Amino acid sequence: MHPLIHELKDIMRLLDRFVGHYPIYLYLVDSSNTVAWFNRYMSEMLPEIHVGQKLPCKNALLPCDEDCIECITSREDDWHKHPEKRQIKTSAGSGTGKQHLEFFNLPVYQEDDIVKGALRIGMDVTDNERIQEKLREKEKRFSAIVKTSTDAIIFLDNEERIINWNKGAEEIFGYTEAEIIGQHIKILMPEELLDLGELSHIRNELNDKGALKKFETQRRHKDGRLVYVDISSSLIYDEKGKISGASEIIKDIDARKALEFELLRTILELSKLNELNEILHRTYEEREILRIILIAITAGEGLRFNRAFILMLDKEEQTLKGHLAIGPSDAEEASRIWSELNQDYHYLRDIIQIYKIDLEGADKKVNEIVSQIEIPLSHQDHILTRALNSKRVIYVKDGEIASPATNIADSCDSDLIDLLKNDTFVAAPVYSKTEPLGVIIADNCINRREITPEDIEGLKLFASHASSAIENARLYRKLEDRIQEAQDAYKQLAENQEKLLRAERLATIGEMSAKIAHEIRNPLVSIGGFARLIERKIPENSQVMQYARIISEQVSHLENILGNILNVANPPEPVKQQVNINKVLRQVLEMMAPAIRERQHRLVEILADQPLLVNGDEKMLHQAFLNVIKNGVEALEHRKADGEIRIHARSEDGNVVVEITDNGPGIEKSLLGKIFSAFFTTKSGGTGLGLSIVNQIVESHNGRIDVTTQSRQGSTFHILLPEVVGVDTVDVSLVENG
Amino acid sequence: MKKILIVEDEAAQRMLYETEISEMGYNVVLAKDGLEAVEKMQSEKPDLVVLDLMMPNIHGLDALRKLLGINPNIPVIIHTAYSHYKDNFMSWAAEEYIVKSSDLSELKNAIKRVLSTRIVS
Repeated sequence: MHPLIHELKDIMRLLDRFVGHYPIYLYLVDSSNTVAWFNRYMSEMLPEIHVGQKLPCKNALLPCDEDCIECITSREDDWHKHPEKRQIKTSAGSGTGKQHLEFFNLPVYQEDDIVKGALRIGMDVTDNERIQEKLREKEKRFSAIVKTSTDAIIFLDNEERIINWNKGAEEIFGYTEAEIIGQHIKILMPEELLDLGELSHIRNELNDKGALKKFETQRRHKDGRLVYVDISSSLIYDEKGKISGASEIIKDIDARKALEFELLRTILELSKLNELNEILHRTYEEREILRIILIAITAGEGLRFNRAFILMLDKEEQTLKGHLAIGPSDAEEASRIWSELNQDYHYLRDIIQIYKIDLEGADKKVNEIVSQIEIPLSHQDHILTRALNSKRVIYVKDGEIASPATNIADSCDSDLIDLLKNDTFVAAPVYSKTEPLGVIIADNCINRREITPEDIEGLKLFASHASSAIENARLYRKLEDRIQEAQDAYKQLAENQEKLLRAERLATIGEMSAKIAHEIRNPLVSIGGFARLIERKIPENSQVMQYARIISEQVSHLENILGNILNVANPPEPVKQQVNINKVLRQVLEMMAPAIRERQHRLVEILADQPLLVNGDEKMLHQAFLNVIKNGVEALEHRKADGEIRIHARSEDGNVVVEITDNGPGIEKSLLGKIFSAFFTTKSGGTGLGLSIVNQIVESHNGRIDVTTQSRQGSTFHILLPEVVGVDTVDVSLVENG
Repeated sequence: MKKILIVEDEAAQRMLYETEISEMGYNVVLAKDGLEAVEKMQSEKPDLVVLDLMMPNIHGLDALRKLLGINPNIPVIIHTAYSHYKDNFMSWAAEEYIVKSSDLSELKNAIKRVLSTRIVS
């Protein structure tokens, strides 16, 4: 037994019993660091421990590892003199590695304050140590993540000053750690958003919910530009549960936002196109369509080109011809026009509705230019014919064809550049499914804004919409023409209906009556012929001679009727030569005068002084006037002394006009349509052929007959025949047959 | 005295024409149809033929062709109840085309006119 334990054994035993079953390691050393006593936990852990064992160094209970610094320096150890805590590594324990023990050194004093030795009380802290290690590892890993993250990870203190700044933050915002640490978070915020109170909004969110998730906003880069970001933030608490600051994870979403904007822009483009399409299909006027397209190409709400020109294909002449253009002649005018428009109108459709292309004013110059463009299709190398034929948009930049790309340098026709006074423009073809229609040229010659691929794409789309609208308009116009044709044809048909019906009726009746007439004519020749023979053979004034005369007269009358019937059924073709209507009328009146005088009617002749010449069949015209005048005389049947027949012949507007007026009872309105029909008559004993023959004759002379009538005041027949200019020809005399 | 061949299928009319034309001072020969007309044309050698068209056996226009075959210079007056043969090509071979009427003055004028021009030419 160690002398020290001898002195302390009662205390030791007491202590050991007190500690009991707790795994508390106890041992006692003397001033030379030699083991004087140990408890059973110690011997369980270190089976080789024994009383009198000198411990190798202050850190170890066992012979040390080779690299134990304490052993190497072999410094005099006086640990036992100081009450302090020390960790002592042991290799004891099974499997899981070294065991960590923590011993508390409790010096044992003599009465004269000399240290006799020390009691060491130890506990196994291996588990604690593992937790600590894990924490350290986690911390390491976390800081690695923070360091290498492409997202900005920022920590703020309670005053919102930046206390942590990682690589990601540097990349997104451009500031180095040294520049930014200690700065207020405001340094990253755009002023407009500060003014809008974004910072207090974030504070409130954090205070209310403890965190902020994926808040999308903008932050300012060191170089001043704005960056789209999303921010997730949360409060940081210290071990006492007090808020010590906040963390912010900031993602750069610029690229995603750009895509989103692109999408939005595309949607806007589409709706713009839809709008345009709707407006375009409301009209069927080709020029109006061209106007709409031009406005859409140049409007701020449209493609924003400065100027636009439309050329259309002239199929007959096989040329591309300038049609219409829009655009100011200088920047001043441009800004005036658009600021006027943009003040009141925000939609494409409004602008299209109110903006008229002013050929005499704002758009005069461009229209002068466009009217000078005329390119024969045979000129196949020309940039515009190429656009038309290849159905591709051609982009000319600085006088060279920039798109579609070609291997060899390809320059644009200089005449066009000279005319446009601009060497950078786009030419887009307009073509339907079946045929090329024209070309649109657009440029930015006023503000020199660069033509982007989106502009070109937009122009291509607008051109294709124009094509379909123009094609529709043309189809519609064709349809309209057809409808008009059909309507005209229908009208003509309706007009002819009456004539046709009459002709058909006449044809049937005519055929039958012609047969009968011919059969009757032969016996009439014999009857009448012999009656005349008798008339001549027997003495004058005898009774029989009178009878014979009656027979021959009646036969003549019958023959007349037959002749008329045959005329209607089988109208003879007029044998035309120059005829003086004055002369014909005089002959007719000479024939009719005795009958008129006999009835005591008045005859008024107003004939022209000069010859009234027409190209006609004298016999037929004679017949026609005779029939009308006879008709007039018959209309005066019931009048006594005051009956009047008035004949008025004159030249008027290239026609010979003959008016034959009676003051008889007039013609009933309901009968007016029928009086020129064959077999229509109101007279007893009439054949109803007289006026229909007149009508036939007048028509075969390309003339016109109509009648005006007033009840109880009489009727006037107007006969119009085309007048001819006289030439000296031999007037063939009329052969009269009585 | 000029000899006129009158071709007419109606007996009554033949009688009428014979009486009237003879009174004008012509020698009248009659034929009742086309066939007889051809015979008489050869045997009688008339100076003028007055020819009806609608006749049995041969149509007047066929008869006309035959008559002209015998004597291409014979003047012929077509004398018919029908006006529409006027447009027929063969009718142009005749000197005159007279539509029948109980008033024979037109026929008589035509005979006088045709025979007088023939004498002159």
